[in-house]
Amino acid sequence: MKLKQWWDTHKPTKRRLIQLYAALLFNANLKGFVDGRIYQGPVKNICTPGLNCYSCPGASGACPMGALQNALSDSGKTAPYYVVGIILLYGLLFGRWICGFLCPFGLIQDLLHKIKTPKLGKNRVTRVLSYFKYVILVFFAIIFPLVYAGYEFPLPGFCKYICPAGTLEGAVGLLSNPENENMLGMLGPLFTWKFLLMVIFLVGAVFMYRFFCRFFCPLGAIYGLFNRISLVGVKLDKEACTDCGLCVGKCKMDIRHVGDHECIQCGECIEVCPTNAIRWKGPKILLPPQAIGGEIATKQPELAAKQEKAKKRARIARCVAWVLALAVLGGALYYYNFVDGRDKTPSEDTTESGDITTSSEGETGKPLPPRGNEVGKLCISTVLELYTGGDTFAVDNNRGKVTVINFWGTWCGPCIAELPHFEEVAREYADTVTVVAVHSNYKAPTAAVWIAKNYPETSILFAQDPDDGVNGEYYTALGGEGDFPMTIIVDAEGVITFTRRGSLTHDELVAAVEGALGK
Amino acid sequence: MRGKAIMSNQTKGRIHLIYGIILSVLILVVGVCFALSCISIYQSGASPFTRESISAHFARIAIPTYICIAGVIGGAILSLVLPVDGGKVKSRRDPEAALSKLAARLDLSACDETVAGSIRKERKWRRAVTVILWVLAGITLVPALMWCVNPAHFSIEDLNTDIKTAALFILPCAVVSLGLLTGERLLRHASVARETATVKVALAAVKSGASAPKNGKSDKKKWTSDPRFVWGVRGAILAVGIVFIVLGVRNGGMADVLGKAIRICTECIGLG
Repeated sequence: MKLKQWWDTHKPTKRRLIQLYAALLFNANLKGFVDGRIYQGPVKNICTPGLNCYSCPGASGACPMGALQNALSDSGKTAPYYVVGIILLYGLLFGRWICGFLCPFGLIQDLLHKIKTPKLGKNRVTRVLSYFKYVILVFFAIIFPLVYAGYEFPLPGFCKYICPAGTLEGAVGLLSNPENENMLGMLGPLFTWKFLLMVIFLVGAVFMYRFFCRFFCPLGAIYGLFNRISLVGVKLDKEACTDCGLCVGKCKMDIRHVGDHECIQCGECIEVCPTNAIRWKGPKILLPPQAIGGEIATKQPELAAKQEKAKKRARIARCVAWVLALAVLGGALYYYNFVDGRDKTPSEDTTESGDITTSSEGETGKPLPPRGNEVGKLCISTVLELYTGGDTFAVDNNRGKVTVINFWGTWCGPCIAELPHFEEVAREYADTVTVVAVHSNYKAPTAAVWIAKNYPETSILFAQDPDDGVNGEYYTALGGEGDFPMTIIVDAEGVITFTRRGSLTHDELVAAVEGALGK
Repeated sequence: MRGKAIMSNQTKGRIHLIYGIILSVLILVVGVCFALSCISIYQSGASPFTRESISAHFARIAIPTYICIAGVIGGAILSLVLPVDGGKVKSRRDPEAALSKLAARLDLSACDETVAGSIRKERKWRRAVTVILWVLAGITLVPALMWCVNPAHFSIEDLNTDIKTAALFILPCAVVSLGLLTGERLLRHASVARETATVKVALAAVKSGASAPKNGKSDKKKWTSDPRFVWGVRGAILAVGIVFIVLGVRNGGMADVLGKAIRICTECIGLG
């Protein structure tokens, strides 16, 4: 009996179960956490409603905030209809109910806030501070990407400089996997800054309810605008409301009244309302029986019968909903982890390819190491089409000179930022080093215009990676797993002397090139 | 359960408070340790970093981290063993909502002219304060906007420095703007309190005097809360959303989302 009592007071609420369910559904690619690679299948063109970084190994969909910023960055070429349309529909359907029930980062903050420490409550100042998230939205998520779109330089300002979900789910998620040890080479001042911010947000969430959501989240700021018209959430019956203020007192967000733009529609206020003025929106079949008829039902037989019917309906609806939800989750887990084979391992791709040379027989007759994509191995070679003049390039044909292979893309900010270093090296070491910048298969045709505009006279050989439908054939063969830029340096014998997943500074590049030259 | 019988709620509350303060200090210490470790890793200049070099830095803060984790688990156990009643939910009435309900009961034309005049004056003043301070708050953000839309302030070569400069320009503007909004809230709150007091006096006078108060329900219903308007807006957004998605699929926007989502966005996750 005592155990039952304990369970009744401590069992997870329906909201918590839905939060856990959503977090699992949006991170259904569980095998990604094991092999340290992100899901690269076709379903990722769908945005998940909450803040869930698409570089998280488990992510099953795209993050709407990241997608919005990238679409704005690309707005010079393609109007961002798709992402805006999706955000409009999510806002219309759910509003900030998404923050309360579906956002995985919201769940993390909720759990942190459960740690037993004294809490900082809300007041008039925190209410005003909650407008700060609109500043973040306007400047970091909209203006910065748009300004840099003018330079044809993608800059997801919020993701790059602020987003703690990206640092926690994406960076820490990937770096903590031993398979991604080479990613540690990318760490620098930016990661230090973002890690510090993440620590502040997480520690803040322990002491202040939804610290990040309340003051910083631009996605919550957008969804908040839809709260009044969203189809799911709580509604206030103004006629029945007595303005007792218990709902606002119970709420930990900076609301002025139930359902305003700060309300995350968690529904915790429903239980404290003495007049049942707060209810869930939605069709009657989904409402709990007490929402129909209320207390009067106990006194009037016809209402009592109605309520009994409603109870039955609600029970059936609940069962159907749970079965459907579990079927969807089970299906998603099965699909992401066992069916979708788009993200094959690089070695599988390499052996399947007919064009890529993987045999290690050298032309000089000298014993050569086996082919591979690691330092010390003979570099895998393929014939790459150059953007200029229909020429081709292959590492095997460049023996006698050091080859610097840089994988990049016009859509990748860090790639564009480091290209000038490669240009300098190509000019400085023109006699002994060949620099090849291999554009990813993604947006490869449009790159020609970009190169002609930004590098009209260049010492770099700009090449195009053969399309394999995912990241590019050569990139995958050389160990790329979706992270750009990537640089590989091959010595005059064709042996790999240096690999780097991530950006390089000028000094690092020069040091690596001189290492390959044997200086 | 036994503790519940022998200990008062107040004593249990005190135990929780002391435990909570200790745990807070621990969490703050661990947070600072993590931040300092991250800075020291960066300043060590051992780039490219290895798992060993990073582990060596974090190993130094292992003990406080473990103690903190134990403290968190201990807190959960404490709340199971010594549960405290959450207490009554405190009411936080919205003074403006209360005032509007109260004011709806008052017929200003039936009031004493001086009282009605002071109420009207208070409302005018409140409206003016709101408009002026919101406009001022908007104006303070204009320089930041002007700065940010000027391409001359941004370059690709010195991207991070430019964004830092822009952020340092935006932040003071945002702080001043939010400060003005705080002022608006405080002034508005004071005005509401003054008007509430006046309305209460006026209502008392009306009750004892000539005309009866109104029924308390506001006759005016906001047109924005009219269900036809709300459903109209919903329909419009639904239509625009669907049209946008179709256009996005056709213009390659959906493929772009996929293209970015299946590649690790190293800058998005802060790797650089």
